[in-house]
Amino acid sequence: MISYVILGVAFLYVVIHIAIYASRQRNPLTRDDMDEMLLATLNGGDKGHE
Amino acid sequence: MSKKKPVTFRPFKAPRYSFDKLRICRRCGRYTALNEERCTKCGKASLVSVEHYASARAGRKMHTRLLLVLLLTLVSVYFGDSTLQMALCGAGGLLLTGLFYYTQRKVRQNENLRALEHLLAYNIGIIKEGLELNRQEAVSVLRENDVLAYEKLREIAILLRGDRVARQRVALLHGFQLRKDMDLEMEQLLLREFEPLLAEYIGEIAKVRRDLIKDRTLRYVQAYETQIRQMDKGIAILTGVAGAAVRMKRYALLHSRFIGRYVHELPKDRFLRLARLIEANPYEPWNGLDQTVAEIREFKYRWDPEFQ
Repeated sequence: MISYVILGVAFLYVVIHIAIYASRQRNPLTRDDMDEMLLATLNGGDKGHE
Repeated sequence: MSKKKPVTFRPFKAPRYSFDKLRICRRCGRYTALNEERCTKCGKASLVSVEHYASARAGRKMHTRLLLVLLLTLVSVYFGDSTLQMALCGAGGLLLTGLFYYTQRKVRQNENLRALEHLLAYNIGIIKEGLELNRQEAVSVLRENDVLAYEKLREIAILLRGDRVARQRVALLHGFQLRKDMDLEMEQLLLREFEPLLAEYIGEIAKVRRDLIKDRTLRYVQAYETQIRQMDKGIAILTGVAGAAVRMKRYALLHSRFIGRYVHELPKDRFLRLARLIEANPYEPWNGLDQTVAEIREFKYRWDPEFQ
């Protein structure tokens, strides 16, 4: 019986992670967003001189 | 006599994304925007791009999770009461692992970017510290090698776009003899306040690289026109900029009043360019510039064959 319980735990672990991955995939990040965020943070909220 | 120094800059290409310039030391975690081989803090040759570093971290995390599922499968097989139970647990576990592996492969790109975002967001303080050290390093070589200092500041300026770095770059550029074949910049050097050295630099750029004088520079010059006029070569700078503005019809139309104030001083080739622009587009709103040009043409170039 214990082996089924352990497999159940593994199943839950996989399901939770797949759900997390799926939710992140719904709002994918782009390099442009990150570029903008980094420049804004480094230059005090200002995107600086483009 | 001019004290400007003839110099040659190393070729420089700005990366598409600013974070492409950033590297991290795998040993000590210091960030740098310069192109050094070894980390200046720990001396190890272990500098990698932040994107590479974040991808490796994301990959490690994914592998650990996959191994954990595999381990749980093995444990469940180990605790099986019968061969059938062991076989069922083994098959179920392998199926789960396969499904998990497939999902991880599908989302890998997005997870790499998430890891990069996490890395940059949580280490922003260390990044700022690293860039400040880079800036200090550039300033420290200023006396011995001003070209190297400028090149270093140019690299840092991809990430630090504030006035401080721009002002230092303008000050360094002031000592150099500018040439057409140089890797020059303009819009990236514009400051929030008036700076005479910058105004002089704009004047030089208007002479050697007219194509770099764009809308933001034209607006900067107009915002500080009074201060520039009061400078020694102020009128020459403003005339040069007005001459550069007639390069494009859009600029000539947008800044027609400004050009109108210096049209009398324009050299012949720039005046001819403006006259032809107006001639080709007589119904555009020139705000009186067309009349001024017609008067000057009549008065100054009446017998010039190029204007016939």
